[in-house]
Amino acid sequence: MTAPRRYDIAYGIIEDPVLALAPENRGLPERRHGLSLRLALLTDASPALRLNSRGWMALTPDVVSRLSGTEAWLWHCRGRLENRVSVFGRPIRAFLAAYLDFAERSVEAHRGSLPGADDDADGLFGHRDWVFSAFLPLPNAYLDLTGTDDRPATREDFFRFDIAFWTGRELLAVLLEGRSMRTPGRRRLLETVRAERDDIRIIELPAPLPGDEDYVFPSEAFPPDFAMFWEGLAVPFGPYRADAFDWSP
Amino acid sequence: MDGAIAKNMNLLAHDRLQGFGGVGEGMALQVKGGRRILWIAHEWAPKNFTGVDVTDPRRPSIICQTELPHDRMRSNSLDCTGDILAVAYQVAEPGMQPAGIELFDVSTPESPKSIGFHDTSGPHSRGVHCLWFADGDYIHCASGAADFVPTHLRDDQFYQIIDVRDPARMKEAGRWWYPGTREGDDASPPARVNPRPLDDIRGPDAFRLHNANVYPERPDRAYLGYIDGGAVILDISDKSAPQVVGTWNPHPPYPGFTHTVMPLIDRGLLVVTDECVQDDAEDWPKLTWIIDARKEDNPVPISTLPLPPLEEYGHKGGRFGSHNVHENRPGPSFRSEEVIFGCFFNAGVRAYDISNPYRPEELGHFIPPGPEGSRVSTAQMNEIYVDEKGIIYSGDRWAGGLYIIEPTF
Repeated sequence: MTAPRRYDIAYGIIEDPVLALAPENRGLPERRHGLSLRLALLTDASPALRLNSRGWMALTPDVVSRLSGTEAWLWHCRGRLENRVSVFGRPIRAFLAAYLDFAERSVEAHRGSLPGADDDADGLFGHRDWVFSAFLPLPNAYLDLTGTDDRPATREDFFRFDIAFWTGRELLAVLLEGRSMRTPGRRRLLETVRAERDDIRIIELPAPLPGDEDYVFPSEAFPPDFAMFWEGLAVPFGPYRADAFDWSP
Repeated sequence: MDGAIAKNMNLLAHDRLQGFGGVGEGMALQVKGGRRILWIAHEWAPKNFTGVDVTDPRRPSIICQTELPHDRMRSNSLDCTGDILAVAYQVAEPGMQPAGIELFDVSTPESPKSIGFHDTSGPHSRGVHCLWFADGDYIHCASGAADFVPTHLRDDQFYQIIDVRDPARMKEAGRWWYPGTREGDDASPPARVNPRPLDDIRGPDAFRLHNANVYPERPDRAYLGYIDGGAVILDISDKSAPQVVGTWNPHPPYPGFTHTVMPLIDRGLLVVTDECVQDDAEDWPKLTWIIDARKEDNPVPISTLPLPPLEEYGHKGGRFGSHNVHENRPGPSFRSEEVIFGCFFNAGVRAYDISNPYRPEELGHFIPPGPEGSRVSTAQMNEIYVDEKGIIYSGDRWAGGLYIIEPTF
């Protein structure tokens, strides 16, 4: 039986992925896998990471008490995602904003056929709660290419993607091609990743231009099922759930 | 190379340019029919410019080397777009000639043909010190002019936009100068930062333009390094009437000589260099600044590129500190808003990762040994160009010529 494939990812505003992934800095409970404010430790058996996955936001009681209703939670998710990107990461910020717009549009477009949602006043969920089932973007995602604990990873073992998504089936790794070329060493590493990691779907996209208010998420570059992110799910739910519903990988 | 100090960089080739190894502030790459020609301006007379075939960067070969009309002038700066090479001519004293810009057709690189000359000579003008020619239509330059009388002898060169769409009939399309530097200005002349005697008109203690950079992604913006006037961002959407959008000037208390202002447009940052102009760290610190320019009218410095210790490099000989950076030039050029390449005189060629702009980290460096025949004991890395493959071309100011370097990062 082969060992499951690992995806150790440090994401967000990361200065040193080695430091972020060091065991003493992981900040996760005593288990090998999970999602935290800046780490996603996954295997190919991990369920999809979604906006309603627990761990990527700090949901303290005072935060939760301030948020009432779907729209407040959606706004909160947008803000938290934006804060995962450096203030100088304008292309990634624009991409994330467009992605969330896309998730909302997808839900609206399929409103009539979404399972489990009931917009009546007595309904437990509304159709817009399905937005929280959209795949969670991991901005500035440093992937540890070693995939092993046999030796400590070094900076050279990481490849940085602008955004990564774990859909439960595959890792989608987005590179925004803007005004930054790769150095020769980084080009060689990307070629190696392409050649040796057919489990990673690398998607190269033109970066949003500064000030482009018409930028639209390029969904056509993603797998067809990416837009139907609710498939296979019975009911929608928001980012805040009590421990009784722990599903973490 | 014996005596070189290197980290994550390997020397591919070294060429002393047939004994004329003083490289100025102009390097440009022409790609033509499978060949790659590096055009190099010389820091001093007698040579004007040299063309080096770098198709194989491990085996550079000189294909032409031209002469200046006389030895009281220098070319120092050049740029190439397509098959047109633009060369800046600066003379030793105001009033001398030829001073201005000459254009060459280098479609046959071995035989550059002059196709136009724009005269900026004048009783108070030394001509052009530095030019930028990236779009094929306009040259942005630091020049004097026949009709410009500076309020201080050293403030003679200001920002000019030259329309070169008809190379035989180049004409000025617009200009901007630092307020108070022209006779007749309403503004008072600016207070000197470090006053120096006027026995040498060159050098520091100047409110004049050094570099002007304009990029196709923001054709309405010019980024000026105005020596003791600091960094200036101009709106040039109307080229005939540039308007100031933002300024940043750390001088004083810093020792002056803002040289280059390079925008990182996607990220809202600027890279600003202050040129070291004195030997033995007499004008330390000469830094390369990272500026948060998300708000153009309120640039905020957030870090500087780390340099090796002053104790080790300050008195090795020659200059130690910032000068030119690779300017993300359009064309066959490496472009990055996260990796910055610069040359730092006796601290050599250095590259930095500024993905976290609050804490730049050095990626590598290459410091050649002091070349034979140099005025000083150390290499004085003066100019740098990085091509789209990541190969670094850098030149020594005095005698070392051209160094071709490959980064391993």
